Amino acid sequence: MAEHDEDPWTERIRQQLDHTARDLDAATLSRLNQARQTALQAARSPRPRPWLWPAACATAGSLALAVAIWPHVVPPTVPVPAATTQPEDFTMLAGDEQLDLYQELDFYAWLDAQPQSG
Amino acid sequence: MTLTLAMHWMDSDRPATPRAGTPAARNHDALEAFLRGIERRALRMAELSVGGREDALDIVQDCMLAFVRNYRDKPAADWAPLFHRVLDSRVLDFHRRHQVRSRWLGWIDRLVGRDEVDEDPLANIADAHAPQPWQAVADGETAKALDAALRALPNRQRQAFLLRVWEGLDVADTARAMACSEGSVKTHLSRAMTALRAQLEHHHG
Repeated sequence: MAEHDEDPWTERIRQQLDHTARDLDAATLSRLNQARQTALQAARSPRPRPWLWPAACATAGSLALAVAIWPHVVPPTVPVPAATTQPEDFTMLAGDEQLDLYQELDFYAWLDAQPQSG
Repeated sequence: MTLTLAMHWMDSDRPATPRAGTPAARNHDALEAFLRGIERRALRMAELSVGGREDALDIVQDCMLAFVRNYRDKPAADWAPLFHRVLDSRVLDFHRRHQVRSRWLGWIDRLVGRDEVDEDPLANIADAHAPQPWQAVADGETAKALDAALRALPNRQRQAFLLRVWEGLDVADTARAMACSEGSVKTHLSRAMTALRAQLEHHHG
C-alpha cells in the first residue's frame, strides 16, 4: 500500500469520510438504491448493437435498389410455345417415307377403304 | 417485416432475467455488490465536486448507467478505475454545462441591467467572524471542516486525494481514473496533502 496509509493523520481523514458516507439520510439512500436498480435493469437488457444499424440500412438499400433496377437489367423473356412434338412425329421424320405421304394420309386411307373395282 | 423484427431485436429493452448459477447471474451479482459498495463514496465525491446533493445524485445515477452499459463485461478488477473515469467525465460535463449556463445568464443579466438590482456588494466581502475550517474542527464539527477543506481544493487535487486516500486506488489505477500520468497523480496528491495539512493538521494532531 502507499506510504500515506500508515500515516495516522490520513487514517483519521479516511475515517471521517467513511463516517459522512455511512450517515446519509434515508431519502438519499433510497435515491441511490433506485439508481442502482435502474442501472442493473440496463445490465439485464440485451446490449444495443449500433454496428448493426449500418449493416441493416445497407441491406435494405441494396434490396430497394435491386427491386428498382431489376426490370431494366433482365431482358423480357419471350414466351416459348408449349412443345407440340410428339414421339410419333420423330418416327415420321426419321422414316424413309416421303413427307407428302403423311400430308395426304387421309386421302390414302380413303383410297384404301374403296372396294376393289377390277 | 424482417427489417422491423431485426430493429426490434437490436433495440429491445426487455430485460432477460439471468438464471441462477449462470455466468450472467454471477456477473449480475458481482455488479450489484460493486455498485452497492461504491455508491455512497461516489455520491460524496460528486457532492464535493459539484456542491449540491441533488446534482450529485443525478451524476451518480447517470454514471452507474453509463458504467453498466459500457464496462459490465470488463474484468471486475478494472471496475473501480473505470467507474471513477466515468464519474470524472460526468462531473466535468456538469461543470461545462454550468459554465455555459452561467455565461448565458450573465449575458442576459447584463442585457436587461439586472446587475445593479440584484448584486449586493457586501456579499463578496469575506466574513471575518465566519468559522474557518480549523475553527470548525475546534468546535467539534470535523466533518464540516473536512468538507470545507476538500471543497476548497482544486478539482484535480481533490480527486487525486480522494481516489488514493479514501478509495484506496493505487497510483496506476488513479492515473487511469483521472486520465493522466502517474507523475501527475503524485504531484496532485502531494499538493492536496500539503494544503489539507495546512488547514487541518494542528487540530488532528
